[in-house]
Amino acid sequence: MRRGVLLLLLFPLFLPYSLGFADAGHYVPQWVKPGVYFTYSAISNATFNWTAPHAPAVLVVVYNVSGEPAGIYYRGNVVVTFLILNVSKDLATIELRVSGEKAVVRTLGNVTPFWNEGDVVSVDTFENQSLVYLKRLQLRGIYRVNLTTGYVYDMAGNRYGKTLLWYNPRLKPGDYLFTSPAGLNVTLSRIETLNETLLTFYRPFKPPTVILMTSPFNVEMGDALHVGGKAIAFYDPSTGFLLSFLGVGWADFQACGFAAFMGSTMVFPEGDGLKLGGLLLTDTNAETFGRKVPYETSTSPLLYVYLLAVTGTIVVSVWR
Amino acid sequence: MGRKVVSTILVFLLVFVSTSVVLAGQPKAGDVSVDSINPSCYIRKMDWDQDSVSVEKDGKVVTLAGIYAEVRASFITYPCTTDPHLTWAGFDSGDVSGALVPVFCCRYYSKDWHGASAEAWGTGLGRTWHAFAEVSLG
Repeated sequence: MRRGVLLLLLFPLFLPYSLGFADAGHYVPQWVKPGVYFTYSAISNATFNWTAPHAPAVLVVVYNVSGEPAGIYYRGNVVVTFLILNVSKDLATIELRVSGEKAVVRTLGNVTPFWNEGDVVSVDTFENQSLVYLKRLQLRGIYRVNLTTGYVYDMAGNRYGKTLLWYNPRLKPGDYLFTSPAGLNVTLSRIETLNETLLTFYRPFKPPTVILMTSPFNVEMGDALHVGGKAIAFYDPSTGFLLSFLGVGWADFQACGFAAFMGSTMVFPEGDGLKLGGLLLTDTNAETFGRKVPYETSTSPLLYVYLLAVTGTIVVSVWR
Repeated sequence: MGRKVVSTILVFLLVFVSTSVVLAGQPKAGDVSVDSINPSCYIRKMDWDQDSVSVEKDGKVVTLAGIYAEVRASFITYPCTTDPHLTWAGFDSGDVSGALVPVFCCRYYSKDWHGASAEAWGTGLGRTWHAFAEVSLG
């Protein structure tokens, strides 16, 4: 009888493992709720002629349109928005929106136009390659994040890798992050904790701040566009916020059709602190959605209360 | 009389031969061979950009950090073609040689018939690093 009661009381402790949720404690910030958004900006300081065939860009992407890649160079200001549309059980549905000015689209062969014809400034073609100059271009994608595992999926259910959108303190060097378009496993190569304030357009973030770096990889669009190097993500560990992203790409972008997503602001916020490169945090409403200290199941006070209660019950039942 | 005839014949022959040589050198439409292209039809261009910080230490200049972007390209132009365009491009980018701190992150290389470009970014030592190199026919 006592043994039966004991087993019954101990069963909930092993429930997550028995259901296959060994990673049930995956870090999920408290602000992962519908309606929460983050915007990131890359601001151009350029005085050059943006309709020149070759000019600096603040964001370069390789975008797959019905299986055909297109290279897109944003030469004016760009805003990237992540909006959490829905959270259901262990899945978060997120919209990624890219809005920018002075965009040049490079196509190889026939690509179905994904731009507004009214924004076309000019089209330049030679053999099978075209350059389409646009006053503005907005792109949109929707993807999902499994909150139990942190894996990113497209809407067709294809898995891409770990999400970029919030800081995961359990990642360690060598961990798999995502797969490059060429099939290379991209891993976490380095984690650095900085005792420095990081400046963003939203506000400064006091130390400690964290930098994650990936192993290098390449994305190619025929012979016309090659993107390569590593990816770097800057985080504030106390809120879990992604402060800036600089690099070739990440799973969240891949799930929305962006094989490469690389850019950097050329204008920086003023203040005492480090001036990060990349797409820089500009606005969010996440801080109004709960405490700044992130919730983590493994360190939740409720877990200790539960464990104490179970232990106490066991002790009492055994002593009787 | 005889002298005049001989002189006229000589002048005629001289004009005939020189005209033939000039005409023989003219390209014929629809008969362009790469081997016969005038070397002056090729234009080679190169551009290089660097973003780095150097300080003087013990009388020596030391480069702390920096990145560079480089592009080289060849173009074919008039009179060998009626449609001048890029024929070849080579690229390079990375941390500046000898820099004490690596800051290079990532880059892209682009090329089309107009020209070619390389743009690179880096981060470190509290700032962002940027280099852009471009060549085109203009």
